[in-house]
Amino acid sequence: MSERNRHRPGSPPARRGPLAPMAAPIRSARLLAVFLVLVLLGALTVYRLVTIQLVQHRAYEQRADNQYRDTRELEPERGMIYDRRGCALVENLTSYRSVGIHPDEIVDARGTAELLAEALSVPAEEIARACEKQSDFVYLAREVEPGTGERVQRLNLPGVEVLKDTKRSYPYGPIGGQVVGHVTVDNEGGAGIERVRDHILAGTPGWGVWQKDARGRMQFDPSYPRREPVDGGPVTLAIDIDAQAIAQEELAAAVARNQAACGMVVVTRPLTGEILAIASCPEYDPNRPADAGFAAQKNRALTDVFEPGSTFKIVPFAAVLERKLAALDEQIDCEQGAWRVADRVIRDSHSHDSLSVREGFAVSSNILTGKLASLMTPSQFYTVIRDFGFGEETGLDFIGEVGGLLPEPDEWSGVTQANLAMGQGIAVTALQLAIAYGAIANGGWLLRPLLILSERAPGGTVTRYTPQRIRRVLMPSTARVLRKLMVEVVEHGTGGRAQIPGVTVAGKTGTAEKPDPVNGGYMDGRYVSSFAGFLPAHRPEWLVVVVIDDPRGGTYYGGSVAAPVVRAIMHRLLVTLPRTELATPAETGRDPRALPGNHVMLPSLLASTHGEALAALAGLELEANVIGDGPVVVAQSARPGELVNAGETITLTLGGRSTTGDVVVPDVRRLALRDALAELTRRGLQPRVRGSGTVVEQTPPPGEPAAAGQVCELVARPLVEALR
Amino acid sequence: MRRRQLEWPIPLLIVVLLVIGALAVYSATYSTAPSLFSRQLIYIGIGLVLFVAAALVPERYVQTFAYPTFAMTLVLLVLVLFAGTGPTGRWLGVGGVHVQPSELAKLALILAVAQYLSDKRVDLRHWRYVVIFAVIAGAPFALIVLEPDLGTSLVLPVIAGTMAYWAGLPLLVLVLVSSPLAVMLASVNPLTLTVVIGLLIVFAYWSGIRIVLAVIWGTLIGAAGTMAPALLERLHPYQRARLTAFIDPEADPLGAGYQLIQSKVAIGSGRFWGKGFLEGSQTQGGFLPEQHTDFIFSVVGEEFGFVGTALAMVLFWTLIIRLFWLARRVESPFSRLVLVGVASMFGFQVLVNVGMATGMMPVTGLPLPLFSYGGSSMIISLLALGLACGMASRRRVHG
Repeated sequence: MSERNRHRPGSPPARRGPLAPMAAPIRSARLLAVFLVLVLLGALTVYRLVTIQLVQHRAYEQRADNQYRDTRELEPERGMIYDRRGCALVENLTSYRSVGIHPDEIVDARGTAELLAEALSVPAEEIARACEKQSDFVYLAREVEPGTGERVQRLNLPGVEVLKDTKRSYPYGPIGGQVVGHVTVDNEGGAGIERVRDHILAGTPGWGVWQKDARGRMQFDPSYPRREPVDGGPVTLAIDIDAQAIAQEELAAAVARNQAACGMVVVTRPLTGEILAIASCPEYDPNRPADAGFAAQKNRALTDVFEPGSTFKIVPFAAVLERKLAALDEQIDCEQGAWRVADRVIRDSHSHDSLSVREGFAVSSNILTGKLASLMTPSQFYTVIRDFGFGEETGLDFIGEVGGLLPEPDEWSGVTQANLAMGQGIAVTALQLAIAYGAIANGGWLLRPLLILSERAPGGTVTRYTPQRIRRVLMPSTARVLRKLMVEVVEHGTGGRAQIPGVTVAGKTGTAEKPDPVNGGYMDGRYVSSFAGFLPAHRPEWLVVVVIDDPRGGTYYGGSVAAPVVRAIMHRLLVTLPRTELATPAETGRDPRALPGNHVMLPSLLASTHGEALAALAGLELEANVIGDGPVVVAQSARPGELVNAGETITLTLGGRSTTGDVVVPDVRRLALRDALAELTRRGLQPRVRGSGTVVEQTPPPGEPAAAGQVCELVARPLVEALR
Repeated sequence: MRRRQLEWPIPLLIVVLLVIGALAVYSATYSTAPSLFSRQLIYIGIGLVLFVAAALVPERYVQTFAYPTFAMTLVLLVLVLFAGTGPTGRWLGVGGVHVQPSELAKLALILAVAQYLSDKRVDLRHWRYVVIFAVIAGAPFALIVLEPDLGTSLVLPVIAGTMAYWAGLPLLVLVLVSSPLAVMLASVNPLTLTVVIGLLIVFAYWSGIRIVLAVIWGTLIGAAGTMAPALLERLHPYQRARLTAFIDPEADPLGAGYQLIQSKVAIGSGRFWGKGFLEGSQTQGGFLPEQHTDFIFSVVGEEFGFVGTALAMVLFWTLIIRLFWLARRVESPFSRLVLVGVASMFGFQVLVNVGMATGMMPVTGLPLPLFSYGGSSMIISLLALGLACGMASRRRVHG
């Protein structure tokens, strides 16, 4: 024992007496030992803290990040699909369809159970039991009725979650269904435009970092990195949903009336190649794609081919007249209705001794058409057929489009050329037929069909699709002659049932025997009836092709089966879509048959601001001439949808509500009455109407200042009258 | 000369530590159990009242109550073995109030040991007194080991050992008496066992111990080492796993090593300045169980960073060193020993708790004094500090 230990502390003579003086050094040594140990251990601890917090912090931070951060995909909203007038053909419905609870977050189990039981019609005891479960999440109800989820959401109960579900909906149902298509269960494009333009519509998903706790619950923190999703861009179609509805209704009625297997319809604007309506029957509802077979989902007007028959005769006639191989009044021997070609006999439905070329087209003589075709070499004729767009795809860029069947000249037998001339031995789509007839209607240009007018990529760049010429197939003069021939078909020939009083309709009928896919040759009593027509004949606005496949209702001629359908569609279009495009040449100062080459389609600038309108015009390489004063455009010198020459000057009239509440009367002439009413009402004017249909007169005139609430008188007439 | 002088640094340090601790508890319970914070405030309030009361109690009353308090504590410790409640059976319920007798035992032991060692007849150089001292210190220790609450039980021998060393217990005796326990603890791991036994042999050689004593000692150590596995068997498997997990927490990252890893992740990711009050992702996300009690230090580490942890350590160490320093200054041997006891109690608890939170020591379930959520620990800590502060105020003033 050392000497120090003998002088232990705690041994003074009295407990509270003075310390023994010699005790101090002893305690000092022991104190020093304790201090040393303490300082050593304290330093060790701080060293440890330095190591963890200042040296190795990166690894621990990384580890913490992995635990509490969770990156989740942010779903973009799917782009809209509009028709040419801006009608939304799709909707994105957000529904709250499933309800569940996080048991450990429930605050008041009994109250929660009672409230939820009432909202969900689930027994309260069952919910109370679920609240006791040792689980992170328990489903209470799935696929609840619409509205229920929203009701639960409004209760705003802690621990109760309503799961969101986004659903694509198609408000027009089967109308345009085959064009718009549908999405798959994963909200990806499954058919139609939804599939073809999926890269535009889908958008770009974003991501966000969420804070996660030990139980895996997510908490959003705005300070965490995040990339917003880019919503899908809209796609505007050339389709007019009204025209589409009319076409589908009439087609469906005709298919039913004629007990036909199916039908196809295409409505276009021949001047631009825009497809206003395209459909086949039977149709399908994209809201319930599974209910319809795959066949109904297809748009047969461009995916299925048929032998066109006489509607094809326009091609040999066009070729012969273009090459001046025959004159219109030239008499052709029609062999008394039976013409032997090679080993076959070609017959006419009515025998003729001889017919002029003009008459031959009107009565749709097979023999005359065959003889006209024989004026060309096979390769010449083949080239003409190809030029009219047959035998290859139209370039529409749509799923399933086919190019049809056209045999090469070296496969032709002796009778092939005559057969092709009458539309047998060749398979075409209804769309190809519409494009070919479009060339006759617009003065000779084969145009690429236009289904999409514009689309905005998720990034923001807008692509506008303008009419595109593929090639000139006819001189304007030949086209004019052919239009006259087609008018005669409707007025005096096989297409009489396409007549519309007051409007000149041009058309051509077709009745083709159906080829027998099993035995070869043609099937007895099985036909494809077709009609292609446009109006008004002198300056075609609309072109309609109707194909009725295998009519069994007693009659099968194109003139009696398909022509009435075209007539009905055209007639309803005239009443329903009184378009400003029907302006007469005198009004626009432009040749109505002007070629759509360097033309651009003018958008509606009404209600755009000055700057927006100028930007839009600049984008189309058009000049602007601005008159008037006001915040928005109230009138434009060329109508929305009208084709104008590139570089042309468009006069914009500014107006609209000013700060004093005054407005400028917009130009509503030639607008459909309902559109005119909407436009006036929107500007705070009070419309008063006489008549119905299209506005022909307005008082006060456009551009006049008017006080809000002022009466604006409109005179409207049915379009058919307005056109005269 | 004797004169009362207010020992102001101790209350000041305590208040600052309490504020930091309360902030940490507030944050730890913020997103999971906010109601606990108000209860903690009540505990702090009670504790502060007792602090003031204890500081004002004359020393002789404290001495009078030292042995009765100790006896009562032993009774409670026996009771808790049979009627313990709570998840670990360490609480005693008395009329809705639950207390942890093992917390009370720390203070009772300090008072009893101080009372015994301050008796002028007691001379720790004689075996008789050493044995009596060992019985006093060993009784509560054994009872708490039986609970079993290894963490708390270890505090008692450390307190008693430090006090006895201060009171003149020869270092050799201290080592002799404590070596069986050290061997027992070290036996959880072959490496630690080798190191401890090696150190003991070196110490025995250096101190020139007599051969007879060496044999007896060796026997004791051998017996302790043999008994250790049996005692370890008494521990719950989770407790055994926790004892060794700190060496390699990654071996069982979702089990025994989970808390250690999470605590280090929270502290480490706090870096220098911390993530900010209530901004700690690990704390607010509830990744670390028992964070408001045993792992409260990790909240400080995550949200207040190294600045916070270093400040807490400096404050704790200032408080502890101040207590030891004052122990040298006060006149009464009883007061001196109480100060040493309180200081060693704090020092050991802070070391073990921070060591556990930083992965240097096994998870033993010792609360961080003045920080951890819990009434017994808070009240006893403040009561003990109150006594110490009162005694320190009656120190001798130079001059």
